[in-house]
Amino acid sequence: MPPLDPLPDNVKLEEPIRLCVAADMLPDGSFGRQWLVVTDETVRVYATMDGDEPKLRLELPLRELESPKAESVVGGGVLEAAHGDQTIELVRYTNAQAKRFAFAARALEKWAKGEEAEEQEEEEQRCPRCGLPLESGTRVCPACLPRSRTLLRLIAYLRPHWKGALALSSLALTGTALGLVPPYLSKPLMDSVLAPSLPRPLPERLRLLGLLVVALLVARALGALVGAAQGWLSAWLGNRITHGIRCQLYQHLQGLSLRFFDKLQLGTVVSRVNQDTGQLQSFLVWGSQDLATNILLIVGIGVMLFVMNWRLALLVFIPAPIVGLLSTGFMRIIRRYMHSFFHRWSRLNAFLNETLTGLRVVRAFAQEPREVARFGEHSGDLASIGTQAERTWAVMFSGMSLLIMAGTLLVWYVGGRDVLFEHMTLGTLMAFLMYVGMFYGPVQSMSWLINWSSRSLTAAERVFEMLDSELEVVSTDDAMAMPHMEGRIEFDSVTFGYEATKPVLKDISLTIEPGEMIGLVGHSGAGKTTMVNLICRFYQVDKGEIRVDGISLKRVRLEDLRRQIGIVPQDTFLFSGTIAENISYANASATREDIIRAAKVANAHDFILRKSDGYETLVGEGGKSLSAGERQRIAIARAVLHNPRILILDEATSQVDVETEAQIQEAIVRLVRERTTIAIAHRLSTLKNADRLVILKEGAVVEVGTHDELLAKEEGEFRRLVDKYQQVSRVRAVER
Amino acid sequence: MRIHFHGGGDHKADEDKGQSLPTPSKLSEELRFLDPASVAFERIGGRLNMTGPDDDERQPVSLVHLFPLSETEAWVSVLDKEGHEIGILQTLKGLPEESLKLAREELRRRYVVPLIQRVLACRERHDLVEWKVETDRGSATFLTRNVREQVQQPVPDHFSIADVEGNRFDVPDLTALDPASRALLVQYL
Repeated sequence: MPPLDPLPDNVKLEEPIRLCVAADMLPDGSFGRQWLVVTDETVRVYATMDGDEPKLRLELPLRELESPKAESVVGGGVLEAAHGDQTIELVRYTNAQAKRFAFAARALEKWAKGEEAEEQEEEEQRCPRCGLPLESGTRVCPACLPRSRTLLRLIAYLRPHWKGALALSSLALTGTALGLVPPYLSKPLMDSVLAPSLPRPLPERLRLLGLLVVALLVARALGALVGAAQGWLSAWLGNRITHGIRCQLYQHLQGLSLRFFDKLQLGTVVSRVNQDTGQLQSFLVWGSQDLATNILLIVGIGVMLFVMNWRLALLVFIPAPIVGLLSTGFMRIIRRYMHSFFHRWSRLNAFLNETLTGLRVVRAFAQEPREVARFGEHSGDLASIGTQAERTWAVMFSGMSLLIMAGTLLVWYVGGRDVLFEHMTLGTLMAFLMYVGMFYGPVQSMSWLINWSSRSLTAAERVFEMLDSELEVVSTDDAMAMPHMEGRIEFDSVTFGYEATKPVLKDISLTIEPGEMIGLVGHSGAGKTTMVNLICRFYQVDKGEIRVDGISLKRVRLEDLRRQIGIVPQDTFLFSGTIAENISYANASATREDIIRAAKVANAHDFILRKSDGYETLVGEGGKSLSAGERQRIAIARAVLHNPRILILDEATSQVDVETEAQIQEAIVRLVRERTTIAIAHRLSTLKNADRLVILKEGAVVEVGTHDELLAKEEGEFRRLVDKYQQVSRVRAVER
Repeated sequence: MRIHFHGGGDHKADEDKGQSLPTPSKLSEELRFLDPASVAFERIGGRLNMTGPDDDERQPVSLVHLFPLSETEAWVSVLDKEGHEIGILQTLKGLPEESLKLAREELRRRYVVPLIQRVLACRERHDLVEWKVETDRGSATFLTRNVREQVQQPVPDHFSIADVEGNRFDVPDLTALDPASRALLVQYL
């Protein structure tokens, strides 16, 4: 659907509107509103020029427009088109509108020629409910989050541990109740023992004293016990739940389509699994506890206060919301300072890192004094914000304490009067004051606890969002088992694009016989890697079908497929582990003999045995402790051990020395024996060895044939590619 | 695609063709300054054209700031229609009056980064910050996320803020802002 923004209010059009896009800039570059309106015959631009009424600024016949373009300028863009020999600027806009106007330009071009415009891919960037822009990679809007629903879902994770959860809740209740006891005991302590209104015999008072102190001790001791038990239980429970969620998430990630990972940046995924679950964990372990305890305390104390002296209680309750609000404001300011502090701190770190890494450059250009000065600046910035933050905290904290103190003093005064006028006993006042002392703490904490829970629920929701994303490639129940593949591959009118509107492969048809070696050749972006991705079923085709041994790829059991299709990828990725572990990645139960055989085939055995740890050498992260040539050969050995029927070989382009190159070539020749191989070839030797070459250009197959056949074609695509790169390599040879 | 000619370069095509080396690129190392008095700009059919400096030949050109953040009236590069540099105007002063006007207009069209003159308010909304500002192109409201990471300081006292939609708002000189605006801005630097 082409974008259809609402027309300006005072404009009514009879004709059907094909397109209406609103822009936020006027022709002179200042902010304002313009509208591009396209009907069947005309293109119109309305603008709010000096004044508020949108007026028609420009009107042109659609068919007379040529080469409409969305040109980008710094900070925005211009939609312009040629009309006759004039270049007319239609609309200006800021970056925010760039995508929509790019689409508009393409649509205009098609319509001007009388063709149909393409479909636009709608990118949901704003929350549908509140209109706030969403962070890329998530649809979770922190403003509109249905928190209750997330909370319920979180609680559902408690179900397998319901006994523990129940125990925890009862402990919390008990703990709070026990905590409320000591202040209450001070009432009889005062009234009956220490300062009785009616005379009592001393021994009796002594006895009561003893009893009360013991009761206090017991209450406190039990309270401590309950507290410890609570901590014990909640630590276990919280961690278990998070562990469960983390594992579930990782498992789900392994099942997700690669398309999902293309859309999201790796950093986002890692942050989801690590940080969001981490935040969830700290909340489940501590936050929820604190929150529950706080609420119970506030309610419990509130009740006690009310029961003892409701008028005085009101005096305590009324300022409470004010304290809460002030705390929230206070916290917001402090948080801003802390963010700035951390930001400057990480900037200082980054600076330190950078200049120490580039120390040679600093010295070579004799810039030490300058770098010292810059460091001083960064450090100074940090110190200044640190000072400001701490000072603000100190002032606000003292202010807050004073406020609370004032409240307490008020209670002293009014309560004291009550005692003097005998409306209330001294003991009651003491108890009251103790409760008040316990009251404002939780009230202050509530504000930041609520904030913490809110953020944790948002984190939870992001985690759930990931867990809810659909697994794309799933083996259907009626999937055919194919324990042994012949290795015939057919592409039948296959069309595919990573984005639905931009096909990378267009109507490809090709048959590969079992045991054949095919070389895929073409420019980068021609579709070679894509074809390979489809064979491996990393993505689903948009149109057409791929068949293996006559059966559609979609219908073959995924595990059989994976077992019999092997890949030597272009960037040889090795997992951090030993060489042996990497070679046997396809089959953890491979024997030592299998591993060595595979290494020999790949010409890797020789260099491995020269290493001090031999096959148990650690390869480092991504294989970085090995050279490129060594990595390539291990990747080949890995594929040999895997022993697939169909092999995908995406040749690495990194240069290695002549002797290593010869070894790698030989290893490849051995590897592709008796397998159906599809090679994205860069080496001449690979191309020559291929049974057939398939030349791809812009997503379509343009030539198929043997190396010699294609080279003989004077104007052929293959010949053109070879000639061009011969030139380049000749220049390189001369330069060397 | 690169083809490695290791260990097997017996291509007949190799030896037979007397291949000449590719022509040198059009990028020269000479710096060419244009005398503003010797060129003239005019707008033809919606595009900027330049006449001069050597002959009276007219050609469509585009203008680019070489130091867009610190210099707006100097160090302007003049490019031909393929985007190759014809020469540099070290200063715009000295251009004939009409040409100066057109040059400024053209540059203003190409650089539409609004310059913040006053910061009226900034409000925190969940994980976003909403800014209300007045710029040299009118008043604007924009939202930023992780604002501290979106602020760049390429040149001392010049700050560049990117909002959630990819728009840029610049503060050309922090010290020139009024104290209230500065106080609001500094919170996020």
